[in-house]
Amino acid sequence: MFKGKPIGKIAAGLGALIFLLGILAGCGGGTKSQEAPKQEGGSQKKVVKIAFIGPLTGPNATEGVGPRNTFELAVNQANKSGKLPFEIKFLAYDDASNPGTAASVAQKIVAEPDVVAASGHWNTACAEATIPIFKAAGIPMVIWGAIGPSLTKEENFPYITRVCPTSVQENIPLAAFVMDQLGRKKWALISSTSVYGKANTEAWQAEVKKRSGAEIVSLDEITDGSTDFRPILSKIKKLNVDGLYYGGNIMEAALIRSQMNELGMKDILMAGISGIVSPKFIEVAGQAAEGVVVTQPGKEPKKMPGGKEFIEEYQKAGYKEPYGAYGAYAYDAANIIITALKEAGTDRKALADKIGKIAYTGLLGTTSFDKTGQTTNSLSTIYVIQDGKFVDWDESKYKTGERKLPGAK
Amino acid sequence: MELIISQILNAVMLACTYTLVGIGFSLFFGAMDIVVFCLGDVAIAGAFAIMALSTVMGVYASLSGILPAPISGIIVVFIGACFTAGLVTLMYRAVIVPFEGKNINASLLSTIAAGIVIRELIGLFYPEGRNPHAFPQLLPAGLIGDNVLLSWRNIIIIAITFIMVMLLYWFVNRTKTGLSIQAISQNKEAAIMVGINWHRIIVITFLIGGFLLGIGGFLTASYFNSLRFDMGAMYGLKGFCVAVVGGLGSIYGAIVGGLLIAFVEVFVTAFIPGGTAYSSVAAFLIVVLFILFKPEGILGEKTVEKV
Amino acid sequence: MGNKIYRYSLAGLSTLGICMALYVCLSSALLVALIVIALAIVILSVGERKNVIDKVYRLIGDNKALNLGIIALFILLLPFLVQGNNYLLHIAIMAGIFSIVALGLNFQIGGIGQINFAPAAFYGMGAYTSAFLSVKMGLSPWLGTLCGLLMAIVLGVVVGFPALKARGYYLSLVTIALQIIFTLMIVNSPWIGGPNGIPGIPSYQIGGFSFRTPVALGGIQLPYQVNFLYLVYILLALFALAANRLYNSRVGLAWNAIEQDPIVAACQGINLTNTQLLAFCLGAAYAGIAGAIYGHYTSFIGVENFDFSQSLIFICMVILGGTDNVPGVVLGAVLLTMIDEKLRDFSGYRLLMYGIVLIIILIIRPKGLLPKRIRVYQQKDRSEYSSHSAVVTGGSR
Repeated sequence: MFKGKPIGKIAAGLGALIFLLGILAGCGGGTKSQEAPKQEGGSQKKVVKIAFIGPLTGPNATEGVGPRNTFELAVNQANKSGKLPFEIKFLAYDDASNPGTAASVAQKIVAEPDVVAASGHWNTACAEATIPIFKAAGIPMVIWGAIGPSLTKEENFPYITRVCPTSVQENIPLAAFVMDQLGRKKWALISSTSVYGKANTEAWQAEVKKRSGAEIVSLDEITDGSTDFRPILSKIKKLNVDGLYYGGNIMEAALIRSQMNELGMKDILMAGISGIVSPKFIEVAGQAAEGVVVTQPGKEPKKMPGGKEFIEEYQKAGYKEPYGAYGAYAYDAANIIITALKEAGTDRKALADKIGKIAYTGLLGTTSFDKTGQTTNSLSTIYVIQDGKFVDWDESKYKTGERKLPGAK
Repeated sequence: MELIISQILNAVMLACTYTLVGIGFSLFFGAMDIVVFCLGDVAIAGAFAIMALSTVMGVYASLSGILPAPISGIIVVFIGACFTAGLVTLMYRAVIVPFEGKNINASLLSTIAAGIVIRELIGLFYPEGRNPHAFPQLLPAGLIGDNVLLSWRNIIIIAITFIMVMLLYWFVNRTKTGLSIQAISQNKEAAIMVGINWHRIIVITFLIGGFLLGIGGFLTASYFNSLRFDMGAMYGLKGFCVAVVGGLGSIYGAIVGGLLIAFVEVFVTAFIPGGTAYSSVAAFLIVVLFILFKPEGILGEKTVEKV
Repeated sequence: MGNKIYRYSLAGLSTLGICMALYVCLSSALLVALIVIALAIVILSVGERKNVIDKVYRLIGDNKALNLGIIALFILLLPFLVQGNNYLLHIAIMAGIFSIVALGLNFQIGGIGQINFAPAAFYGMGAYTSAFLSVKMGLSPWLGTLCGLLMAIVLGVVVGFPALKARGYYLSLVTIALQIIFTLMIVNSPWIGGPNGIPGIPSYQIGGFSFRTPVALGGIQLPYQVNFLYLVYILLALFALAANRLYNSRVGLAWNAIEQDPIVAACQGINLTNTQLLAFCLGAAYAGIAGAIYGHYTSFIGVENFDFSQSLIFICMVILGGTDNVPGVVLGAVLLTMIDEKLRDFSGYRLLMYGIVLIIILIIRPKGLLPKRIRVYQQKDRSEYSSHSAVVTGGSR
């Protein structure tokens, strides 16, 4: 039955296939071994790699692309300056706001031999997923945008550090402003069910509890991606609140504000933190955005020393996207890593120790880390939206009394 | 009392956004016995087309130079709806025709995949596609009198939905083509036997359904003032739920189903403390219960399983 | 006699070829991997036309021990082949975990022909139960995994119950709804971390040896992934064998009968309720255990890993590989996991790729890479009832 031909054909086919695969496998190995000497001998400078991770696609892509650009800008500037004894290669990875993807990407970064440091994440959940991986590999990671308070811990120091404030730190100045300075006491709270939203809810509740007379009269949690908030807002309208706090991201915040306007709730103050600070908020909310109060840590880049140059360089580099709310953080995170690299060399352990002890002055002011790896820099600015722009409260027409905030007597 | 009235109004408006996509599901299921899962994405693609016409491509601006604003608005919406009709017919050719007469699982998966493809293509190729966009305000936004509950836009949305349903009613019951669609949905073989050109009717059904979807996408985007590339997934799913609750294949069922789902969502949000996070859960639970205990829906005909 | 040795080595060679092809896919760049896959598809379709595939199947089937040995050796040597590269090992582990889920899902898609859109919910149920018990209650991860499996089975009943009443579109909507409810409920439950997920999940331990410590084997320092690699692939082997036995058993036959026509199947005396629920519960058990291992491996789980799009990916794996064909399903899962990881650099196109791949496969190869095979019962019967004649004809069958 099976004599001769068919089996012979199978054998021949198989032989050819295995031969081919062998060649392919050989090529794979071969290119690797050819590359290695090139890097050492071909260019005069040693190459070290720094990885950037952030949401470059998916629902939060807006938040990740700007920081990616500024990070790259910082690396390019450092390479161009000619002061480095090595060449830095910039790697950008996408976590798509998904912890599983983030963990996978982190494994990939850790497996690259020349990676000395990483900077990652806008989403707290993604950072949670990758911290153990980076720590186990002994690669220092500077968090540029994730604000969950639990991320920086003493046992992870100095490998995990963070240049941006936590949600708790962010809410303190906002609460002081709207409750103490403006005297708004009765609050409605809407937050997203995301990690970010939950952290904000807790932080705001804590702030309200600290002040006598202040109270939260309603709390609603919405899932990211919802579009209809009218039922919630109609309910809140009846409660005669002094202000509405939203803890979440741009899209939902903008919809809430525009729907508030529709339902005749324009006279209720809306407040939020850096998650909603984006030109997109004003674009989507339109006219309704006027008078919304937000806070963002740090000062506006253009007001910081070196900020003008930063903005010019960013425009010169030809990036299409705005650098966004977190651009300055990623820029400083990159510079912190580069400064530490300059001083400590490319050993990962020495680099991590150096980052832990750094005192770097950049766009955010002077950044240094406490014993958990959290930045001690607590500059922040209150912005109010005026004529379609985020304007520093101190320079706004609202402060001078020329205009009145929603609900002001 | 005012609270309840305003919540009822919210629910009615939400139902309007669900109804047209629900009708789309029912129409195609009636005509072909298939569920086209990518309808939500098609509708959102239509809304994107309308947005592109009025912002990026500047058609609206150049039209309103010549014509009064409402008429140029209508023209833009009409073009967008025609685009949607074309898109859904393309979907029919690309992902439904190859699976005609085969296992329904194949067409189910292929239409879901087509939905993903549409969504991702918008995300990749529309300028700043993955960012949320403010939808251009083609409908007047002002209030009627001093009453904050009624705005012109809400009235117009309800009116357009109503007109569309009426037109569809007239078309399905009073025209020959519409009667042919009904004939096909009742018995395909018999319909072919009495001389109905099946293929022509199916394509017409898809064109009409697509047109309705385009309008639906436009109304939804106008109601929410915003548009995002991945809105279509949930929109389509809710539309399917609406169609099932109302009775798959029944056009009026989609209206009833839309009202039911919308009322459940709004009232769970409004009157159950802490219920906001569970409003979608409640809506989906209703659907699961319906499928388990009354699969023919509220207005659907009870089908006996054929042996 | 010579023929026998010839066939023996041929069988070994074909398995080796498959292993090498997979290794090449794993370790090389996207383009090379795609070329290998394209090559494999060409070989498959040419082979099918010339009936060679059947012979290869029979060759491999006749020399099971040898082929399993080669595969086992391949997995055993994999860490050395990739020189301890933990990223490649991570891909291999994920491929193994996803294969287990896909095998379980196949009981529903391939077995009773119902598409279950909630496999990620089963997978998540296992992961969350095990993680919750071991983090918050301090239970041993091994026991946690067992509980994860049990809870997944409970969810399997919940999802499987509607399948008794609804079919086709209705069932798909029910499972989609349950999948979405599952993710929403996790997000809304702060006691299991809500949107934060569960960080710091402990790893498995045997004696004092934690699976998360790197090992030195044969003088080479290997990353900790090696432990999980072996664990996952031992389990995958067990589950694949079990799935194969099930397919060949009366249960598998009953599932296929229900797929063809439930009413006729009931007339044949098949208990529809039990048999269909079994397909869901077994599938859930597979996914549950895979989820639990995933949690203990990555030490962090978040709701994003268990949502509807993950379910779609699982379905893609089964459809791509070939429904109701155990090697096919595993192949589909392994290939898609690898391609997915290779596409990291083009992650904007990832979902688009899934959509297009699914449509193309449904149109060009609706039965997947390795299609469902014709059941070969009479062959077994013949060897049982006519064993004497087999001896007379000189063992060539």
